[in-house]
Amino acid sequence: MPESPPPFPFVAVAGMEMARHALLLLAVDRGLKGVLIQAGPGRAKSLLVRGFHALARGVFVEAPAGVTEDQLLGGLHLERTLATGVRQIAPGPLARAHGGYFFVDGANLLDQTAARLLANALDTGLLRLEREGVSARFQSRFAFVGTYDRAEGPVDASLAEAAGLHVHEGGLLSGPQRVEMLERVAAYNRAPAAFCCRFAHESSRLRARIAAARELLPRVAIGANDLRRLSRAAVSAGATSHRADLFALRCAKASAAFRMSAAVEEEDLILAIRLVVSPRAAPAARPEQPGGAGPRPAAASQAASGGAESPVQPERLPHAIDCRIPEEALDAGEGARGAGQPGRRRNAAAAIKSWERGRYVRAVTAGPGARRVSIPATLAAAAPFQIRRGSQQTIRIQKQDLRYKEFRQKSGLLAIFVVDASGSMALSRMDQAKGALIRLLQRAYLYRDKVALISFRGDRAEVLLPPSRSVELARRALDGLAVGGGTPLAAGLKAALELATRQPDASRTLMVLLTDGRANVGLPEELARACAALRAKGVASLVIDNRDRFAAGGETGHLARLLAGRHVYLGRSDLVDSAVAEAAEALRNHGA
Amino acid sequence: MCYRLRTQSQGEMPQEPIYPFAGIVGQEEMKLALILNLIEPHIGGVLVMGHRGTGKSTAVRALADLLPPIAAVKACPYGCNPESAAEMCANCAGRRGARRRLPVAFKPVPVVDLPLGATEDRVCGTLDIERALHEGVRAFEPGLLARANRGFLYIDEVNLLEDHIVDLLLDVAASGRNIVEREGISVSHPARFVLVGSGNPEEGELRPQLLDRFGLHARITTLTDVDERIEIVLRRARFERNPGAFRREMEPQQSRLRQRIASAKKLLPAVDVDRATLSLIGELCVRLNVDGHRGELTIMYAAKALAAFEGRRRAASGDVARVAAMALRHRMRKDPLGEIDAGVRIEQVFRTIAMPAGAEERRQARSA
Repeated sequence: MPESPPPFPFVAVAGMEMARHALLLLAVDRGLKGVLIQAGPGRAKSLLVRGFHALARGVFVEAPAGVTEDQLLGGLHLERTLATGVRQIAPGPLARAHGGYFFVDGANLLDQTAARLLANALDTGLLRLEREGVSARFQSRFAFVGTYDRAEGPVDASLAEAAGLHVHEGGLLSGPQRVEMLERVAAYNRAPAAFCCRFAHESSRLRARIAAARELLPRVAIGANDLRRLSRAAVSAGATSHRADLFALRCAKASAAFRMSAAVEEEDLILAIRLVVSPRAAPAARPEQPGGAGPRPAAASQAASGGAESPVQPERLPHAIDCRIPEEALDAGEGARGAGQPGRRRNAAAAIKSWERGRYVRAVTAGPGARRVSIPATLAAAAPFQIRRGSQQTIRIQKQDLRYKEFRQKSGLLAIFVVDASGSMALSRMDQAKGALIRLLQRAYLYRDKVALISFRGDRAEVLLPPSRSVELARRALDGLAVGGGTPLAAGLKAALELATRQPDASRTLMVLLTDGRANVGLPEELARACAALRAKGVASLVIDNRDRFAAGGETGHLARLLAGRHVYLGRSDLVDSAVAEAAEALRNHGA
Repeated sequence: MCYRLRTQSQGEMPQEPIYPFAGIVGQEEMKLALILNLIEPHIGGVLVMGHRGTGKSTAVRALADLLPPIAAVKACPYGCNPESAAEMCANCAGRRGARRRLPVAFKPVPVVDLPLGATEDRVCGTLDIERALHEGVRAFEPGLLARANRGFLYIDEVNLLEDHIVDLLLDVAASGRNIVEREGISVSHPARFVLVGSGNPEEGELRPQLLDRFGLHARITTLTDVDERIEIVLRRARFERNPGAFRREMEPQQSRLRQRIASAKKLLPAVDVDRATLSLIGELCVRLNVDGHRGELTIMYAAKALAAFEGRRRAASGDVARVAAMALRHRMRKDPLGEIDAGVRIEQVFRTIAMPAGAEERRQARSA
């Protein structure tokens, strides 16, 4: 069998200087925990990382972005357990990466639980397994390398927080650099081994340098003033986490060590700020409300949202819960857990039960469509009968022992509020949006809904709040909103489309559009195309025109038709809330 | 030949060194909330919400070190208290009832971390496969809740906790017992623990039932003072370089803190609250429209614990002032578009009722 060719040498990769430097620093000090490399497609990210593996040597474990929490943690090794009669545990990739590197290409595609697990392992150096009859602890000290393309969404915040260095490679190669790159790739493809030989000397020098830097590292010193500069940079950037300061210090020292200097200098500080502090900066403050719009008097905003603020919620909640109870009654295998107790299981049914996808919850006896067998639970069920069944060398399993895995998928919706912030009606529209949005969020814990806020005015649309469950963030986003200008409706719809596309299931998206429909920026064809695209994606829409039905000119009705969505005129602002809630309810019931 | 399924844990490793509580810089509200719970578990636990990287988990994990070991029935998986018959598991109660002496051993107060991805069977306990296979009996293998009995259960990222686990915890926290009905097992055992949760509020809201379970809600403040931040960095760096040396460095302060907590626990039964202070607490809750009575009870317990911690036998309005915000901020009916922080509102109302009109004016005149 032919051997696989040696990987493309790290030192031969063109461009990506920052990424290369960050990886080298990680090799010098694994206490930096990780490097996240962001670059567009075709930028040789994975190539670089594999080259890094060959350079750094040692343990290197790679996992696909689709890896689940189950797979990462590991579990019972079925074959060995049955063969030896001893409970053997198969450590997952995270445990196997101990002492080395763990690589994920497409780090932003990791599902949330897997990302959290990874972040936790990076933080604590420990992996605790407490699932399906297995209780174990593993040491898991490793450094993480993650590559991703920002266009496909951000990396999970916990993971980004736990990895020390963040690199954004945006620059393009120059003409001459591209020529060099093409020549090298051609040479490599022609004769990989020979190509690698060309760089063998340089590679081994680099390796030696890393080793020397690692040895020098404990003796690198930083001046008190320089340390202050780093912390001050973190504070001014609004990097609240203390990890920013800690990683910045480590980065500066690693950088100095790599330069073979025992003292941290200016260039090390600059690098540390660039790789650690700046990427963690808080988003810039929103622009102030323009003087023309005037400060919003408390009385006016009260009046505008007066109706909508009536204490509707306590009365609403029981209705929502009552609708759920019939489903719960069908819930098999819940056992004697006091189903009559109030306050329990209110949103147990909010998650969709599945026999195949989602988060593993428990193992149950057979049901229609049950497919995936849970081995440990089955063994547990069969265990008490073994002596009676006369088992000697093998474990005898009968059909009634079989237990199947039950999964739960989060069923929440994404409600995207697209608000027309142009013109003079903006303030009152904003108050309505704010009220409805906050109320939807406060019930979000029941249904696991998320809310996003897009505003459009002037010549563009802006995502004020990316999909989130946080009432805090929503409030802040709304407070900082600027109003006035032209009406770029198509831009607003396109921004919503983008957000919807990033969701795993776009058909569980509700777009709530507040406007008077009179687009005066952008072409009508653009608008029609955006509407068609949203329809094609299966996004449900609700267009709310807050003018009086008699004063309106039919623009919003037309828009609603293009979107194949609902349409409602509002004489009173309190109706926005109920319209949104109804549309959301309809979508949930339809989808579930 | 019967199979014997033994647990074989690979990579058995030494305990990771714990960063000492006394070494944590700043975050006084959080630290106080945790300490008060060590003194008086009736307060009902702490919820600490704040941004990432602000020392929340570090503080909770450091708690175990601050308490003296407790007396527990030897080899009992629930660590039953030999003195308290009411809280014992069936086994211990039975043996005690038969007038047999219960062997006692000392063990550290359990602080159990609920790990990410824990499944229900490991949390509440399940069938002991070993014994089932070997002896053909259905025996119970205790889970994490059993281990946490008489101690603390810590949940990081509490706002992301799976719903069915939340339901389980709410049940157990309310009754103090864990009832297991699965795989032919029917067991009920004591499970009294103090719940501690932490998380990032931006990840989402907690269910009100879960929120209400926590006695105190401590807020994390962002440290913007550069000197404090540097101190944090330097201490952490020293700890990472040589954990043993750092812990020794902090030992005098740790030891003082341990002593204070132990004395406070001894003094606590003698601490009282006068009627005036009790009506102050009541008035505060009425004015703030607080749901239910847990708020008042929590303030009372916390104020007493605080007085004990400072060596006083009487809890007065000053103590109430210092614990009220933590005890009430998560129990107030939420103002949906609320711009005022709940803590600020609590302080405002407190000042109105605690200070008679004349004193308030004089205070303002002085500060003007």
